[in-house]
Amino acid sequence: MSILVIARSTFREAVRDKVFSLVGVFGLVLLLSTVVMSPLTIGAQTKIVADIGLGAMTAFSLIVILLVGSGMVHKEIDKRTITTILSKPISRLEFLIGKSLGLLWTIAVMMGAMTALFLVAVLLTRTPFRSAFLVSILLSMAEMVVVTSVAMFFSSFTGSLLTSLFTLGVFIAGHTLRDLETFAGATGNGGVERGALVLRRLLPDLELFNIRNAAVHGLPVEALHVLWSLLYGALYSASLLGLAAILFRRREFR
Amino acid sequence: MVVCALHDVCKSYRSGFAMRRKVALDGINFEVEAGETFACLGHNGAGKSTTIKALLGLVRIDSGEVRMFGAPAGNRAALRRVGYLPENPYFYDHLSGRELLQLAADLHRLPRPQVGARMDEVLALVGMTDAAGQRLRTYSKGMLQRIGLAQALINDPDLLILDEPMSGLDPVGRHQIRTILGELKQRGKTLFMSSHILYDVEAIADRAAILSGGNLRRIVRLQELPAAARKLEVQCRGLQGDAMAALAARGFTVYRDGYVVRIELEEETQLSLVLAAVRTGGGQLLGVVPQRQTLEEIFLAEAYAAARASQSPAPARPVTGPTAPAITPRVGTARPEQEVRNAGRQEKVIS
Repeated sequence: MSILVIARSTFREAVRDKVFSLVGVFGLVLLLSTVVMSPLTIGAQTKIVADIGLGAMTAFSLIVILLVGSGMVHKEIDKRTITTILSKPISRLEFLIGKSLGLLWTIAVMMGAMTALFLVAVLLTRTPFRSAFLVSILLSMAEMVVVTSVAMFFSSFTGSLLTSLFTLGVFIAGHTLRDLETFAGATGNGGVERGALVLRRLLPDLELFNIRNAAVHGLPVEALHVLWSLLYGALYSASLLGLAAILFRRREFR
Repeated sequence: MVVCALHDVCKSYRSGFAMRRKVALDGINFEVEAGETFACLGHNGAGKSTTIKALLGLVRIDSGEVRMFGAPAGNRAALRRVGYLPENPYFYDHLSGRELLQLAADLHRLPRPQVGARMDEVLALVGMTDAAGQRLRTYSKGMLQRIGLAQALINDPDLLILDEPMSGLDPVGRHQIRTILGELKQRGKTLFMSSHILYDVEAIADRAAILSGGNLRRIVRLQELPAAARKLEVQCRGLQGDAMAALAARGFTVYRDGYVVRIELEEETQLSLVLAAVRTGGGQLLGVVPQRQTLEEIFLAEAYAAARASQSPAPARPVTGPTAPAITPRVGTARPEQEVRNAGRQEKVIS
């Protein structure tokens, strides 16, 4: 109950801070991609809309996490609103989960709106519709759940700028972990290989959630992969939020 | 019944690049009884806010014990019975006053059907009914303080914790908050407040703990203050400067407060001497007022004693004239409003 109260308040704050104006920017990006890009890509016009649309959804959601989510907890501490909230019968874990859910609620609504715009663009450009588009969006949302938990983890013990930088770093590393491991193997250096392995174990493998290429090019997507990715995302996020809660419990509000 | 208790509570913070340890509370001990109004007094950094945060579980104490309604600090069941108004209240400024109250009510899990009526009640109590629909970012400092009090009262708490409730308010705002607190006290609520506005504490509190440098210097039972009555003050006007200087030379504290000259007497036996000096000095007697020991006197005495003990620079002295010698500070009886009214007009001679 308290979790939902905090989540609702966080969502309301995002709405009133006009976070959803980003959906308008997304619409503009889609429009530009169809009007400007499509004529330049002879024979692949239909793929451009799908490619840019699905990619932009992830990018815009990431922007919300970096700009809004990363500073969420720090802002509460900095503005001292947290002392009023935590003086009520609510635990710090509930507060942290509530903030995360509020952010995810914001992203989910935004993704919903972007999906609607995307489908309109698909329809207007006569791009062949594939159910894999929706699966790709679902996995993007799962990816944002993981990235949100990363942002919450860092914000439980550091400020908003560092949280943004670390979260962006993890996002980039999470998408290049496999390449990193390959490169490390190619060096033949045991230390580098071990370092790459540690990173692979610690950081989230965000490429699991990236099926955009398959969706755009009509390649098959295994149901088992989707289920495993969703389970992986849920477990990783829960573990990171648990860790964040432990760190947040030790934090003092002077 | 003891509502909250601190036993040998110590708390220090690490700050700065060198992570130097700074003691915020050093073995604080006191208990607050149900229905009591208890105030923590002290200058900035004395440990008032840390005491409150230790009670609410917002900071972790190094040692000792903090209990509220018999439970450890921050206990959820105990917090259900508490209302808290932070210092310089900061709330979600994207919310309206009514939405803030709804948020507080939801966090206390108040039954929805009752919340509307309760909100109307507390909004009326703090005089914010008309402004309840406005966003908090449009509120003045006084309005924020009052809506802050309203959110603290939404759960009809048994214990109300107020951190500097009068801070930054104009005289009208202070009077309003004081009146509301008086009403709550009448209703039998336990009030725990921190303040450095002595007049307000004296007007409301039953007991006051004087903190300095994280130490509890003394607990004063305010109802017992009149028992310390011993001094007299002769008030007159038109007294010549020579006569004032002569009285000062004889060891009296003499100062001009607007058009009134005030002469402080330590003993009643000095009265005839002073009255004669007033008559011969061309003064017109306005009155002879018995002076009880004020909280301000006790507070300043403790503050100076603490400063001497730590050999740190003494806190700023009360209003003195430009030529006032650095002797025993005058621990004035003027109320803060008077001090403000007369600021810059006081001429004082200290013996």
